[in-house]
Amino acid sequence: MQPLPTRNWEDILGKIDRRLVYIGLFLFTLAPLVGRWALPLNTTEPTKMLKKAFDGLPQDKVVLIASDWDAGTQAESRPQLTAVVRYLLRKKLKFILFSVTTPTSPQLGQTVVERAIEAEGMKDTWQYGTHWANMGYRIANAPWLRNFARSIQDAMKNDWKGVPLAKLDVTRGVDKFGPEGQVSMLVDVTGSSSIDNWYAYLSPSKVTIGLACTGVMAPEQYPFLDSGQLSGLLTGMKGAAEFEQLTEQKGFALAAMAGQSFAHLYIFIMLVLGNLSVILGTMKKRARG
Amino acid sequence: MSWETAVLWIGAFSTLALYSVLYKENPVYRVAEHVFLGIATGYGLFVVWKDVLYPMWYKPFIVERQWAWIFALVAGLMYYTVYSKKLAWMSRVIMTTMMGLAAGLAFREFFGAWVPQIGKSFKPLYVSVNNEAGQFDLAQTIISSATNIIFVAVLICVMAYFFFSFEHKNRVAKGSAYMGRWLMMICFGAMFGSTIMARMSLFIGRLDFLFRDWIPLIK
Repeated sequence: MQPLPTRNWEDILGKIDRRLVYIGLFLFTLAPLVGRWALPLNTTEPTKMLKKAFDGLPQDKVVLIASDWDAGTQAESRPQLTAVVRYLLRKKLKFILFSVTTPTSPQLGQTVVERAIEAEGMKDTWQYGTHWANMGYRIANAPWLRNFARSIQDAMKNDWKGVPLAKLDVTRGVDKFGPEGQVSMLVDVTGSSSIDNWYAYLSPSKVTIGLACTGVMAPEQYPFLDSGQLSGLLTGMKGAAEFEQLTEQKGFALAAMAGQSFAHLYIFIMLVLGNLSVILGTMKKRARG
Repeated sequence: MSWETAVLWIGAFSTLALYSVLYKENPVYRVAEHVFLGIATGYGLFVVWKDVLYPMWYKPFIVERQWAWIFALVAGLMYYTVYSKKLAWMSRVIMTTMMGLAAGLAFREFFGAWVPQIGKSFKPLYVSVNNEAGQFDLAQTIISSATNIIFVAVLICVMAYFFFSFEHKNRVAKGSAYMGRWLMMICFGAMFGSTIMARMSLFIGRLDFLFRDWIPLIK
């Protein structure tokens, strides 16, 4: 009778069914969300810079928000836009939404702003057309971008429902970027590379540019922060959570970061176990010669 | 069942159907995948007509009778001559015209986006920092100078890796290029880490939908 093969630690660790790993990840992510467990969250410098940029804006100018995201990145972009809009509402800074990369953005952005206004209890005081507007979607090809950088009125003409910009208080006369213009800052909340357009076409106007991008895009954006082309940066859901914490908002991102942190911890443990299995196996093979 | 409840259940079913692939490839996942692709394509076509072709071409051309817009139609149709051997030269005319236009515009984009980066890369290796009282701050001076030195060193090493005009036989060139490769690996690692964070965010977004909106477990 043949002896049963002995199972070593490295075999057990190396042959865990991937479906068990997924179940573990599911539980590790869900439990903190349900139980409202939280790990401390450190606010990073790029987030502080964005808040500082907002704090320095004049009241008589408007902030342009490029809402360039869709359902694919809404888990990151929606809390970012919500956090930014809520802070602008608290600072009583007028803002105008528009989109250049995804045709579904205007509707998503509109919903976010309406909910943010409700959350801040400003439904009766902060009116569409007077304090904020949505200019809708335009295709950002190079000639249009050049025109937009030169004259917002000429490039946009109407809001997303076809109302001429001249008929809305908040958009009337808003035409130029930078210190001489009527737009004090452009914030791009994006899940794509739309920010490249603003570096290329708006940097010469000296307008303050802020960015809220997905985690995937963030590492590429740090050089722009260093060069001063960006005035602040929110990195994915973490950036949104940091901004919520910094501006004392109770939003989705802060609650969701609990799940994010525990999921990272789980992935880290799995990485260590996987590598341990390989290292132990290699050591045993070497020992056997 | 109200319309909102039906939408909620369809959303929950679709989410679970797509995640079912994690267990194994199955027909429910396939159906959900094809339904999503079909809807996205149909919706995309509708949006192109509603937000682009109708307001930007059809309305000025047909409704407002600005006849010059016929040239846009002709230029657009010229792309399709690529399928005819006899008329393919027409597609080359429009393609080369557009390529020339794009190349010209790219110059402006390059100067707007990248020239400030080049300028800001020339950092001083010694930065003298004064505190708020106007006195010399040694700690901040060391930190700022060290930051700039690290920046310049990383920049040189990475550029050395991409310098192919001579063979990397020299010890300095070889060492800096090798270091540059490692530094890039660290950067790619950071990028991959951010990607994991982004993917987890999407997963949390779906969990929030399933366990807040569908099954109210998260308060």
